[in-house]
Amino acid sequence: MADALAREAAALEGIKVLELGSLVAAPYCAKLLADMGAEVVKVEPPGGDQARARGPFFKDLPDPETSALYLYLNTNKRGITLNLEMASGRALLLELLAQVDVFIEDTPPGRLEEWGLPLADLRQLYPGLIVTSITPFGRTGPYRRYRAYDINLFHGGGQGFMVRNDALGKRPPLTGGGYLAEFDGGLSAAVATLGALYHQGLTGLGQHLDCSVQEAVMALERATLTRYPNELAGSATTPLSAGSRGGRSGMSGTQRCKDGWVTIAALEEHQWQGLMRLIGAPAGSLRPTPELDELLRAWLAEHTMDEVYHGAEALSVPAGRLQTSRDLLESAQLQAREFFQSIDHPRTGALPYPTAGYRMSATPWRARRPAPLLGQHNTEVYCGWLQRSQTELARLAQAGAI
Amino acid sequence: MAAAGPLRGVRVLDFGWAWAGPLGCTLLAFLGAEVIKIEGQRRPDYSRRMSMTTGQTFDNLDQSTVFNDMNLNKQSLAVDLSDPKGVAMVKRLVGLSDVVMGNMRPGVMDKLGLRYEDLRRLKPDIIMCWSSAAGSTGPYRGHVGYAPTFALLGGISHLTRYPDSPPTLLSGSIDAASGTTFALAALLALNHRLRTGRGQLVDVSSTEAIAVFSGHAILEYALNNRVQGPLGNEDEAMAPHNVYPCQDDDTWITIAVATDQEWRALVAALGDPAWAQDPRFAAGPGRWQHRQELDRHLEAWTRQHTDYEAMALLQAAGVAAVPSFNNRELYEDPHTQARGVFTKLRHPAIGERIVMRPPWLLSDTPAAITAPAPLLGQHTAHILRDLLGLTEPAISELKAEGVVYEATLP
Repeated sequence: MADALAREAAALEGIKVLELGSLVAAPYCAKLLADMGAEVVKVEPPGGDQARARGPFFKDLPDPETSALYLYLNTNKRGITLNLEMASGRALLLELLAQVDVFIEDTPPGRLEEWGLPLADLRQLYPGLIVTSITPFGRTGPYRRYRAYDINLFHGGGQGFMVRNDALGKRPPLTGGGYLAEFDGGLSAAVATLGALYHQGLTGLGQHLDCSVQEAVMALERATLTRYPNELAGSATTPLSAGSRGGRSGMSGTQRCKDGWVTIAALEEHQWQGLMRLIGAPAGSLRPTPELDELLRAWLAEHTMDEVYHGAEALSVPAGRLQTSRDLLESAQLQAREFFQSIDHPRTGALPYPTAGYRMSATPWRARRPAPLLGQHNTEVYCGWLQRSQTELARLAQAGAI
Repeated sequence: MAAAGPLRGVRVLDFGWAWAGPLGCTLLAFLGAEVIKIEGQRRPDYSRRMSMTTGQTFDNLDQSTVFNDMNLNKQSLAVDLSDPKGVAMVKRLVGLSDVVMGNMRPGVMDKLGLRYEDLRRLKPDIIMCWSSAAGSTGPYRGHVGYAPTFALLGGISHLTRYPDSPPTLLSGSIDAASGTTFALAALLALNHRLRTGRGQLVDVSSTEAIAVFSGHAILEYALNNRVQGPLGNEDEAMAPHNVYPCQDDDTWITIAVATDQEWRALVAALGDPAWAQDPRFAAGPGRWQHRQELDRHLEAWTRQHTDYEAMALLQAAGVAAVPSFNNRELYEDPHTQARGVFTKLRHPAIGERIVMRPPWLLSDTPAAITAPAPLLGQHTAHILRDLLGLTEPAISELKAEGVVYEATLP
């Protein structure tokens, strides 16, 4: 079986991708393809992807080669530098695009046109090319040139509204941890890109994909955000906090227990009955009542996160316990599933990297290479893909084009 | 009729349940796949009855607006899977399909004789893509969960809180992100099959689908032996970086400044106030160190403006500033209107509804909403007749025996 797996091609074997992206959304989209075997070349300006300047850094020493954010988002890619402010740099970009199936880019709308590389021309030159444009608000509409970082997009996509709740009181609505909106934007764009890639595989035809991070974030709430025009129009806005804290009152949301925080989501009747058994409620307790709430609180106060979680799951009651990054690394479940794989990097040494939310029987996730050092593959790509000589490469470097 | 989506010709059997599974299949349907939802008449999709996220319950199985939003573009076959004839019918459909997807607890399909090994005998290149709370292997493989449990177990809740507030469970978006990952996994397998002719089994874990969003925090622990703590709305380097109150009650604007250039643009947009000339604010590290003071000054300004005014003034100067939009603002917003994010659809049992279009614009093979969610069993006769070649008398007999159920259009 193992031999059979080793012989099997990667899911995206032979697919070539050029990424012109920074920070999270576009690089994550390209990473999802690279992780499954696509040959991804990441194009960075001579100063590098902005993620290189963001921490956390190895030993807290700012270093463009040891940003955890950059390392995570750019594993399995090759990396080159290219100065697109120069005409000679833009000419090289055109040559590179001739080599690839997919171009993932996050330039502000209008920038490609300023560079003399309008999408219409690219499509005419390369009819088989898929261009995935990932921008904060999409390539059309009044906000198309608006600037936005992750915090702006999480709230701009309505998520800040969704997570408002009484526990926050008058404090500002919270932002999703890490770079949640940008991750969702990159993930969503990867879905569309793989759809277009399937069509390209059948027909040889490429196309342009306009992916808005704001819309990717809003799309996660398609059943909730549409309640305003359908059911609530004309009345004051109603934050759906009761809903977002879930189900039967008092029996969901985050609850304090003996040593931390848990949630119990006993939605279905058999789950509810399981919960009643777990906390020793009187048989036949059909509905939540203040007395049952109190009983649950008292029971939780005497039980640890592990006891609540395992006790509930043993009775098929959906439950969760607070997990930090360390808990994830130490999780028996994630370890048993080999969710982390060790990748060696010249500057940080080997580290356990999260892989993916899926296990593919024939085309498993594989670590092929660590994130590239800045310009690490210039020679390989410019001399290999584009057939430039070492002398020409040196001249380009001297002119500042790469 | 617009051009079809890129997955035209792909047939998916959807055994999805609640949110993550059905939404993943809907994304494929948006891209043009033909998705047949298999439902038991006695145990239909949970979203037909109620929604945890919105807190709604529905008396009539065909009137669930939440089910509609999560199951657009699909067909419905209502079949009794406790009857061997029903299972036999599904097996014949597998032979005509490309992908079998679902998100019931691992083991459900085994009992029906519909394991991957069984499916492969019926269709050698079949793709089976199954999603569950913790995945189908490992000590927690039988666990059950919903969005709030994935949020806590996947590590994102720990990062989404003020240091002194309870962890936030986020919302149904966590299920939807898991469903998007589910669609991604199926598409990876479809692309692989297109080039090699081979199917495979894909095992999705909703917990892991969320855990990947904390990759940088996980690496930080591995790098520095430090657990990244909750930051509230602050950033580890940017300042200002926060959510500020605006003039009207419960309205807010997010402002984030990463560079000195953006800082100067912000100061100019505020009208060069005296406080902003303070040399402590001239460079990034100083702004970050004194971020609370900076936030107080900014808040004094944002309180004098509506969220939309603040966005227009700051964006005109090149500063990343966007309101924390509520549902009304997003619906009425000139940008979402210009991009046609919300669109109208008529559902035979619900009537006219506003729904959200697919989140991508594909130039040549558009993703589109082509149909409302199906009534329970709406396409039963069509599937039995046109796909399986059953005669009308045979279909009538199966209906009479209760093996299949066909909806009557209102």
